[in-house]
Amino acid sequence: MSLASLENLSIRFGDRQVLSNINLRIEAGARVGLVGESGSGKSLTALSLMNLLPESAEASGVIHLNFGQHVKIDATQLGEDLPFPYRGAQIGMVFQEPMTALNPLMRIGDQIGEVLALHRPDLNTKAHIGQLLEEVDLRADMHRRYPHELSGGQRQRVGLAMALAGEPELLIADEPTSALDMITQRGVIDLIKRIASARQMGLLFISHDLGAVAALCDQIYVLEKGKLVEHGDSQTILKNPQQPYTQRLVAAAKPTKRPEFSRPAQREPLLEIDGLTRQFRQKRYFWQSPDITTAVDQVSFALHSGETLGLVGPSGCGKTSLSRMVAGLDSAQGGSVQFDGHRFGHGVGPIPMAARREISMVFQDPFSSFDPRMRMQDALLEPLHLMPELTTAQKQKRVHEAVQRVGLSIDMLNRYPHAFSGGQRQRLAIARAIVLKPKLLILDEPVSALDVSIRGDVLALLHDLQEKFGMAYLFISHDLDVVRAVTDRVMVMDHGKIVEHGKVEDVFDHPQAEITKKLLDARLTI
Amino acid sequence: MVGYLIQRLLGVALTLLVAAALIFFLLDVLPGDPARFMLGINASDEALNALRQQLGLDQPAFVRFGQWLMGLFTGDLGMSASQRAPIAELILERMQLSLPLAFGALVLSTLIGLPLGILAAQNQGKIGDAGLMGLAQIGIAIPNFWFAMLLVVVFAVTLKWLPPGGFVPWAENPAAAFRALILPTIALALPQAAILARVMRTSLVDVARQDFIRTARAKGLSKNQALWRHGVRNALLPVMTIMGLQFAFLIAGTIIVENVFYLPGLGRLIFTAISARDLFVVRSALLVLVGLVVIIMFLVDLLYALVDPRLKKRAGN
Repeated sequence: MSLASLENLSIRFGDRQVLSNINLRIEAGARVGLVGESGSGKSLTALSLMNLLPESAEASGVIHLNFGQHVKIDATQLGEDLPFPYRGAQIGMVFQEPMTALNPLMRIGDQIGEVLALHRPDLNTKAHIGQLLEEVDLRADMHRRYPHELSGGQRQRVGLAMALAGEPELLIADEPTSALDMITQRGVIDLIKRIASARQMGLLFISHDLGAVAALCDQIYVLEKGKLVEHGDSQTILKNPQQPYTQRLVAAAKPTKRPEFSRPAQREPLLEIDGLTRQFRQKRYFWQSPDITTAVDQVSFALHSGETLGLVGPSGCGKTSLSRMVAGLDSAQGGSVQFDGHRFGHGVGPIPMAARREISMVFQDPFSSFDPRMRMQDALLEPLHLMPELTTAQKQKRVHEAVQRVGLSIDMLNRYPHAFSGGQRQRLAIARAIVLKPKLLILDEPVSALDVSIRGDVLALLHDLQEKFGMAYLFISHDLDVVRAVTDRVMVMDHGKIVEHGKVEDVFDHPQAEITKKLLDARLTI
Repeated sequence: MVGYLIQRLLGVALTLLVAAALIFFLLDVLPGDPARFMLGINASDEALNALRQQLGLDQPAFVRFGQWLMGLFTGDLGMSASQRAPIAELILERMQLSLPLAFGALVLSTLIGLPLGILAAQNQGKIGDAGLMGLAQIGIAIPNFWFAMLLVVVFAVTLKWLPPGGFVPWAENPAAAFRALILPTIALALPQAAILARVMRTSLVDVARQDFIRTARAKGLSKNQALWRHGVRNALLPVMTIMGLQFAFLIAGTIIVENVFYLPGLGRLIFTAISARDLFVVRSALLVLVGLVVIIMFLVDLLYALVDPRLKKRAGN
């Protein structure tokens, strides 16, 4: 008898079917991965096991739970009125967002204690809360901290401690590491693996990241648009995927190097950064002298037309601060930028208008980088105010060209951002960046928020655009495999400084700096 | 924390100084000569000059500003021309009514508004929610003077439970003073309660969608337990700002209700002083109002820092 299983679970919202006939088993002590893209129904599957489905969801099928004794639950009965004593006790759950999943006004010790008070009042002591914190590699004396006093990884560990407090036999983890940087992610995944085997817990691990699932699970279920397309033990699925969808996922998790294209030889670099420095001054009281934090410390590098330069580093190392200065969005406290005959920076002045239209940016989150109340048409026209010499008709034509260039149809342009998928939106963000025909494109984690199978398409698009227009790319990413596939040279940044710089193969195959080694070790490859 | 308090108190002092200067110089440039106004148009030039000298009006503006500021500290604000009484005494007397009235209305509106808002949020999308919010809508829409008159008709004229208006000083008869304030408090509180209920509901509905409420449910709490233990305190943060603004409004904006109930409050003092061109009273009373509001906002900020640990960090704990 398995610990928990779903039998023909289906869920629909009104007449929209989101899950169809899911059959899934979790044996006691087994680690099961559930992989699929956003919107495939992964989270709903997990929430149905917790009896936490949204009120408007209509479920059918059977849920079997076997904690000591076998319980058969008719899924149509799921809801607030169904007595469900397992939640937080025999079944614990960890969620994705470490920044928002904890109550900001409550000490973390109290938040853990709340679970104990509900399910194990006999264990609700400071000592036991301390033990739980230590089990997830935190210090016992951290129980008095508030969530904002912890890093993302630490918060995720608190979430894990809360899930463990009820002594669960089944742990459900819904994308618990997707919002963390690589090194932290690796730490949390190793921790979950260690605890799951130490406690002999069953684990249902949900992720869009095949690498993370491969590192953790012995069985994998693949979900596509609400249907299970394939399941089996991890090695078989990863080595020998049967279904086309699974094959695509596996292929996309291993990005391949793009073919090189020939570039005309140039002596002068397009972009030359010299000793660029960004400092933040903060003072608590006006009579104090400010504390100075140096986010970017004396960074120098050069970039040629048609070249892609990668920028990697742990979160908070200054990657984004650096890119914002290069784009002229933030002022530098030292150093200068030489770009295409223009010079700006500390002591020189702000970025000149003529340089601004030659530099564009694409950001990570395609959902929040468009104004939700602006039609796509207008959002894409907006950058063109930097080119007052164009007539309205010419601007319109530019937008249409850019949209077709990124592989979308121009009759979509009347829609608002919410009517596009994540991949389409990122294509539109790229279109918005290229309407000005810039010479430099700054790509700040351009594919990190995208589903793996779309990632490849967007990277291919970027490659084609570069070949066609000879743009230079500054490519920021935490994903070293992507960086290896798309860049020529790479810089590794840590604590505001460039600690390593060279051809991407050289740097990644023979890392010198400590942080580069750490980043490479943290990779989750399949 | 001490540094934070010092910084904030300096800010409060600076705000008050700027407000005092604005009030003083704006009123000073207004046309009209207080001395002539007091003596009437037929007064002789000698009499006018003598009075000007007596009032200190012949001094340069910044000297008079300095004297007024000194007076604020010593409690000597001069005499009211229209009421022939020391201004400080007038203001203090009116505050005996206005402060309890505003405070009572705030407490009452909180006691009514917050629970209703929470109840509506718990029943979000159901009939109870719609009903409560409909009532709140009506409460906001009805002018409070009309509502005040309705209260008078029902509870004072028909039922004769409470006095229809007027005010007996606390020192004379505390029970009567309290009874006199009951109907005005209700008339002031209900529209504010309606606003609070709406804000509380919206805020709690927003909080209920947050991830940490889902986390709380995953711990095994029921929907209502999760809302009460984790939702309400978070939802109160924006509500506190509104409450601070409401208190400010209640202190100064009670004049209409004061008129309906014939209450000698601060609002009426300022109103009559303006009608009588008694600018000395106006400027001091205005500054007292500004001072009260600034102090309340300061207290709300302190309360914020107390409730929200994320702010305490910035406050230097």
